[in-house]
Amino acid sequence: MESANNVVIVGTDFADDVSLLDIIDHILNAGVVIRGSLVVSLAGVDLVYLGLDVILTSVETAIRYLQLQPLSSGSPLRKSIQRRSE
Amino acid sequence: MPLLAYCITEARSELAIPAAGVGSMPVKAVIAGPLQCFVSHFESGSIEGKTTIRESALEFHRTVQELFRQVAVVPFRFPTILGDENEISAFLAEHSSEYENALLRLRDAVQMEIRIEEREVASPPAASGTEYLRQRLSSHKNIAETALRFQHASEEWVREWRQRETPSGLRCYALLTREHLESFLTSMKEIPVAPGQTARVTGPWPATEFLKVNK
Repeated sequence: MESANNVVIVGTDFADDVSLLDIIDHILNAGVVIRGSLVVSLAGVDLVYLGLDVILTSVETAIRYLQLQPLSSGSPLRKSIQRRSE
Repeated sequence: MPLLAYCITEARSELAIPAAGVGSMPVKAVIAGPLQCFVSHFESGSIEGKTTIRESALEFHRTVQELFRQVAVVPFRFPTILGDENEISAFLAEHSSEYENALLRLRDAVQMEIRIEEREVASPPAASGTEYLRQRLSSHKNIAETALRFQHASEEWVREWRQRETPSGLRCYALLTREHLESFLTSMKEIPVAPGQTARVTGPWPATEFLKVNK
């Protein structure tokens, strides 16, 4: 939801790539951290983080681009960005 | 079998536990004294791959949100994986008073966030280092003024306000009572934001920025 004064209000229910970015940002960066308790293969966990970083980068780049140049929902570029983030 | 930890709540029997968490695994509570931790079994390699990671992240979020709609939670970062229930119980026992106090203090609270940033616009580069620093200073000042407008406009409903600078602007955190959420959101829509700035209001989130008391 965007008001006329550049204030965007986003809920926490997953609806689009913008809220996905907020959700991933939160679950990665907010909350309790337990250090030294990982018992599953560390390589596997590293892959999880690496994967999330990839998603974050692609979505964030897309949002920045869309802020500069809004695209219609059917535009080829938006579809391409959506495909990349999947 | 390893366990994926979702969040900690006060030990209350009337909570509706989400039927399934990440990977459709059943969610269960591990109770230790006045606290309980929600977990599900975790299989190594089950959340690798880009699409699976995104789905797993959203499943994790939905599970925590389902509990957060009922009660205050202290979420774990995703993915936090522990060896077994004994490790969870030991962790809860070690931090019992810290989280019990936080959950009591934040029992009816939610956290809203306001991220204020300058829009990226194609502007001519600064002619000198001094000019660049002046531009940065001016941008910081404008963002701080906008944050202050948000803070003043919502002070009727906000119990506590914290903020910190980010590379691209300012991130503000408002702690408010759940019942004031609608009033808070209404007040946010009315606030003028300077040209060239954006403000993104998100939430409600668990009050993770307020777990520790400011001294």
